[in-house]
Amino acid sequence: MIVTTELFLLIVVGSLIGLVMGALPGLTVTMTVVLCVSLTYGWPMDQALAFIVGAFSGGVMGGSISAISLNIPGTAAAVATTFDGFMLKKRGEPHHALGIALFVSLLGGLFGLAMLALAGPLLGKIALKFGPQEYFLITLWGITLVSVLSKGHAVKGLISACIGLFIGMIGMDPQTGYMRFTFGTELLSGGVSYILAMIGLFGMKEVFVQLNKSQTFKVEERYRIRDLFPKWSIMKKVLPTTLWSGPIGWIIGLLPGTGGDIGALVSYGTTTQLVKNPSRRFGEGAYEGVAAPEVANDAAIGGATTTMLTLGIPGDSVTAVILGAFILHGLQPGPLFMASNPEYFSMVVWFLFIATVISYGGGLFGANAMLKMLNVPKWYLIPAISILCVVGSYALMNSINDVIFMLFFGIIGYVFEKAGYPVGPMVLAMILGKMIEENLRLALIITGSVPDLLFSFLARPYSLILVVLIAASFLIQYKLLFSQGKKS
Amino acid sequence: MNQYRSLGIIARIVVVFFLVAFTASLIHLGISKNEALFKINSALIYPALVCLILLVCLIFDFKGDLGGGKKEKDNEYIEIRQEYRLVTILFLGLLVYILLLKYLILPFALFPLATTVYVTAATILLNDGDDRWMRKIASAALIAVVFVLAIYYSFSRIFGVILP
Repeated sequence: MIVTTELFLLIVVGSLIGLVMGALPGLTVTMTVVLCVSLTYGWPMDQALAFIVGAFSGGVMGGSISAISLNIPGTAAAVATTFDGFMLKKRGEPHHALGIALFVSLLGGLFGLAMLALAGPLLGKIALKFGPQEYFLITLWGITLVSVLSKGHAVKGLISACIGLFIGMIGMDPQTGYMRFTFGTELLSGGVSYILAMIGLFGMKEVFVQLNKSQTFKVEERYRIRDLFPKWSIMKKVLPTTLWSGPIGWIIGLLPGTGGDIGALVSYGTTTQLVKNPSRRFGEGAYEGVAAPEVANDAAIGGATTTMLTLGIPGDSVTAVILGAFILHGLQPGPLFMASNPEYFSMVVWFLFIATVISYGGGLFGANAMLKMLNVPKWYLIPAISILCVVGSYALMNSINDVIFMLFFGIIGYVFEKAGYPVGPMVLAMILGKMIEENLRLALIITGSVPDLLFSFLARPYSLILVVLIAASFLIQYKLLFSQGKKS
Repeated sequence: MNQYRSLGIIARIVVVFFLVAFTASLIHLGISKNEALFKINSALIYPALVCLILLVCLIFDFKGDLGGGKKEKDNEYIEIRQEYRLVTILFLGLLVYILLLKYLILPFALFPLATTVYVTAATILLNDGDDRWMRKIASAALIAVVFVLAIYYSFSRIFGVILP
């Protein structure tokens, strides 16, 4: 049996931690997953995956709670939920808003998983035919898209990615044995762990960023659990929305560099165009306006996981962290993953399925507890999270030097983020840099020259498809950013 | 991002520092190993390409921001200064705490003691919701003790994580 009682309990604990952290504004899903990863260094792989996957799924679902109660999204993926969710609360229907959000999140999550189970093996089979050119293009696609999509700062995103590539090169060159970029110090001879970078850039950075938002919330509302089960009269209006929101979320989740946040916004925009007679006007508390983004952001989990497992490219920053956790625990997601580790693929699908259901139950029965958690002042949370980052980075190699590295990543992350340089591409480049380098060198040696390499990109069918996809993704995503900018 | 112009300058200094340091190290490696930078079978072609791409991006970045953003208003400036102050104090506090863990030698309980002191101090520093100092200190100390005990037992006993 894939899921034992122990694994089930770990998924439950992970989901509940994710729900609570996702509900707290400012504490991102990425940070939650990073902190969970840091607890699992010494765990067996299956237990670690159960815990991490639970936190991921719970975190995405938890984001809607503060979006509806406070008009502040707990996660970026819940931004679009605030548009109508908070208005529903103001109209005296917070239970309907949260009930819809939780239920359609369940539907969206299950749809994304079904698509993962169907499309994953298919994509895996195609990926087996890839050579160095295709591997190089895929990884390059991932990094450039994450960079280009970084809140419109494409050049800054690329700069951040280049710095990640540099940091990833520190230490011994795996092919020649040269010591690179160690600057003569023993401290750098073993390289810089991307786990430290993840804890610093996503965890400690968030501690510094939250210092200017030290306000405490006062949430007094309480829900009756039976009110959170959506009424059939409401669901009749909402269910058609899920027909397009699920596929939109899943497909956008598939694209490297995009994630639940963009999926939710696109789905909301599409719904406003497609639904001619909403329950209320959009932006004034339409049920459809709550359902569309919530279906999409949970369906995007399945999409992002499909890309991560089959191609080894994370769909967003959370899946970048999960990819790092897979590698840490000895698994290498990518084209060979489906062939060499089919049991882990089905394990991840099962874990996600259970985590989605548990998160729904946790959201229903724990909504009031999470609302109480929103009242915990930031000044208690910030020092606590900084200590979790310290402990997590120390536990990697039992070295205080690692903690110092993590702290410097944290402050660099703060400076970069405030200056408009996204930190996601840096981490992603650190994780994928080795794969890019190996495949570029191999492809260059095979083809013999740069023009021949470029020609082989066009001559090989899968390479050509990837080149077209890269170009198309750039165009589509630039268009998306452009239309969002125009709207705002 | 206009209100964070000074951090923009610092970020660019960091990027330029990275570029210069890595380029210098790459050239040094090329000379010492007698490897050409831009040759197809050279081990250094990939880092050299990354240097080149970073240089091009940096030029575009500088060009894109020529003229700068508008200057921040006085109230924004005061808020940002307050934020910088908090970030600097917390960063230095964490650094001192980490260095204490590295260099201070106590026969027992170094991590719980140092962590309790750090968490108490950080909570007092960040607590802007209570003007009564004694109450502030007492609640911070109490929370710190409970938190450290919870961390100590859950991490070392339940999760099996080795603490500093």
